[in-house]
Amino acid sequence: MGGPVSTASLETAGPDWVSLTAADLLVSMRVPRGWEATAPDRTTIAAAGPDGVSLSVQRGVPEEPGHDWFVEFARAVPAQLQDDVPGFELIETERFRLSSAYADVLLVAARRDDGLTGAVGPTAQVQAYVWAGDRRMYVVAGSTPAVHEARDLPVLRAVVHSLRLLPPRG
Amino acid sequence: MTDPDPAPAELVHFYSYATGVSLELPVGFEQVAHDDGSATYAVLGDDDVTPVPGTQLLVQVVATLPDDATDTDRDEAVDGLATALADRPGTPVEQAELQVDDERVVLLTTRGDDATTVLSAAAVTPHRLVSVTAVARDGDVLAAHRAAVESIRWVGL
Repeated sequence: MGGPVSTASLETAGPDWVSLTAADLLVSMRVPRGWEATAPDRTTIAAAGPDGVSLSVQRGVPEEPGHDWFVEFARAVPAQLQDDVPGFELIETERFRLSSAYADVLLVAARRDDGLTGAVGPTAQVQAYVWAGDRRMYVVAGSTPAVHEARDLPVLRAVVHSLRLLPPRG
Repeated sequence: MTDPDPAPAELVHFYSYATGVSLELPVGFEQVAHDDGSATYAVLGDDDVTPVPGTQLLVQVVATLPDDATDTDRDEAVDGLATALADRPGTPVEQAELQVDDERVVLLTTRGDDATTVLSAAAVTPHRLVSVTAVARDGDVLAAHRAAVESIRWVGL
């Protein structure tokens, strides 16, 4: 069991990072230069880097209206993940707001090793939930092989911190 | 322990479909005007309507580039715009070249006779020639304007 990762976010404005915009999702983010982006469907954008690190952003709607729902959701999610996901080990959680429309974020960093043999093996993960009002919510899922946790978790967190939400075309 | 209701971010993100420019400014700035090719941001006064003098930042699409514009065309366009911006009244203080979101930006700082500092930027995206002109009366606002330019993403939607 390792220690917590740093909560300091990497600087994503520099030349080693590039912007990635998903018009259908109304979202912009910064990802490391060289990552390959794909759009599996109209509600999802994904980006993948070297050695198995990847991240996806999916747009949906909150289950219930009102910010109070998200506050309660964010309070409950970490414990639910620990209870429900086999091999889930919480590293830490973080709450912050984006610069866009006061969007509220819950970020969960965790390790996962369900004991199953497979190509991926144990992973380090970032799961983020971005509440942006009653009709817009994003789920960010990032993952990397556990052996690359120290290198990639700060990167995945920085991508989440770089999110900008675009307004609907008026 | 995570904050159950985190404080608002210190920066506010703005995106204008008129300009295709995404940028961040400190909390307190608002988009105060826009038209088909520009957007203006400023701090509003106590009446919540009138911009505070010396805070405005104007982003303007100066021209649209054709699909077949070459890198040379784009460089010439941004150089021409930078020259025009440099010819404005005032005493030149600084001229610098930056890379902002993978695009070349020429940044000029000019001091006016009225104790204002004008920050101008010329940039070219694949299809748009963009100018940024910001007028500041104090160093904090000037720093915010410069940070805003450096925060730009050329979203272009």
